[in-house]
Amino acid sequence: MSITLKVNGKTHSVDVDADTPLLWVLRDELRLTGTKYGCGISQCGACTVHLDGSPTRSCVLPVQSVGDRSVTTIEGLESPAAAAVQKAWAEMDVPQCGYCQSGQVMSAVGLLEQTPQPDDDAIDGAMRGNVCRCATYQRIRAAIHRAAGELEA
Amino acid sequence: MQQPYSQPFSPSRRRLLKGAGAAGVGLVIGFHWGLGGPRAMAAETESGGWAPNAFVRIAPDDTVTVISKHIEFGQGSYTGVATVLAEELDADWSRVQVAPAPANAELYGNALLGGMQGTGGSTAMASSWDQLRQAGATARAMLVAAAAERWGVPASELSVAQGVVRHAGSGREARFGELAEAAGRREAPKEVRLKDPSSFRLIGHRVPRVDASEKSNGEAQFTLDIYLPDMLTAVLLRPPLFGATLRLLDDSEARKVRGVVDVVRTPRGVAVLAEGFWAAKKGRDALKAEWDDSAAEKRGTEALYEDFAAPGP
Ligand code: FES
Ligand code: FES
Repeated sequence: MSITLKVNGKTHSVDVDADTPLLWVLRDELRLTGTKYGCGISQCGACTVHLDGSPTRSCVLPVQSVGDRSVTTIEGLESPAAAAVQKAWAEMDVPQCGYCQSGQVMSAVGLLEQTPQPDDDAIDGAMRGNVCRCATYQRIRAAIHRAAGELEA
Repeated sequence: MQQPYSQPFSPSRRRLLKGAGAAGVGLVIGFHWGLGGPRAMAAETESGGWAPNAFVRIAPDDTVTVISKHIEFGQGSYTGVATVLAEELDADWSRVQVAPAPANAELYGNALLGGMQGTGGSTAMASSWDQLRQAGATARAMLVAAAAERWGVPASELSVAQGVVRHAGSGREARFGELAEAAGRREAPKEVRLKDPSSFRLIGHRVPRVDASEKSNGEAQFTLDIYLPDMLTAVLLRPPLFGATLRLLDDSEARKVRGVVDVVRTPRGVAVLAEGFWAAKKGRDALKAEWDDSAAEKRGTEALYEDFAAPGP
């Protein structure tokens, strides 16, 4: 069926089954490959995108249920919080293999947009659903603090 | 751990040359490591006399691209190998980027892994050290020679730092990108002098990773991100027990799934081929299979441990 979606500010029309997870519409149809497939069962966070600004697991979200909410992927991030997070990520060498990092960045940006000055508990709570096989957790936490500091300045 | 990049997405020599040509003419340095040692060659056009093994490209916009024969999977090999080459080149680190070498064991083999093209066993730096220092120093010498000729001064009076060649006496200077075309027309020197380690500015010093930004903004390419024309996606049905074999397969429902193109046997199971992941997965989930587990492994964890701990015959 034909489904209309708003992704990164643009409206797309795709012809897919209604139960297709948003992740596969983004990747296979729109070729927005920054959003990753890790587990497909909402356990790892690699597929995190924003739905009206809230971090959401796209691997278990049927595209039909997106409705008119706007989808933001890593490719479409643009906000002071996003810029601060990505700058801190690079400055602190957060990524190793990088596979989980699109999801990490989406969750971190979502956090800072809600909670500009999170403490460790808030960070751990917001980032809990994003696993990293390379175990970059310490740097992720430090980089979120740095990004928060930059946003405050 | 073989190079995972598929050929069409790799900067093959031809593509590098075309890329350099598209942005203007640049300089590429390659080496062929034969029995007689490194033989450096450089050229500027597709018809030029290229060595088959290219390790660095300098574009007119000053970007230095290091071609890494080692894959980057988080261990920092891209940054490591780029550091070695950029050190001898005296490149501006902020203009250094890395591209994967194409699959070609003859050109990009790992001497420490018996010549196969592979990354592993902590060999990436050791197998790159001499080769990339030579490559960087050779490129630097050619850029210096090009500047000396342009300015009519002895090469010995020139210095290089951060991607800029300078002549102190006359105050002249030129960026790598400005010299790349002229450097590419020169014969590579037979011998180059490598730096004394006491003058290293990058090696042994902390430098930012070359891949941190692209891994923070979704641009980094992983195997999963490669799409080829008419490519299908396969999702596998595997036996429930190790060693079980397929006895009966009913794939009629799977074949009805929109987007499923074929169902094929694999050595241990069944693959559903489809246009895209979701169709392939739905097709796989719709397979009805019966397995013959008569020859399959049926021991549980405890039994396996017991057998493992039991004294051998
Ligand atoms: S792929 Fe969605 S949570 Fe793992
Ligand atoms: S950086 Fe490798 S999985 Fe997180």
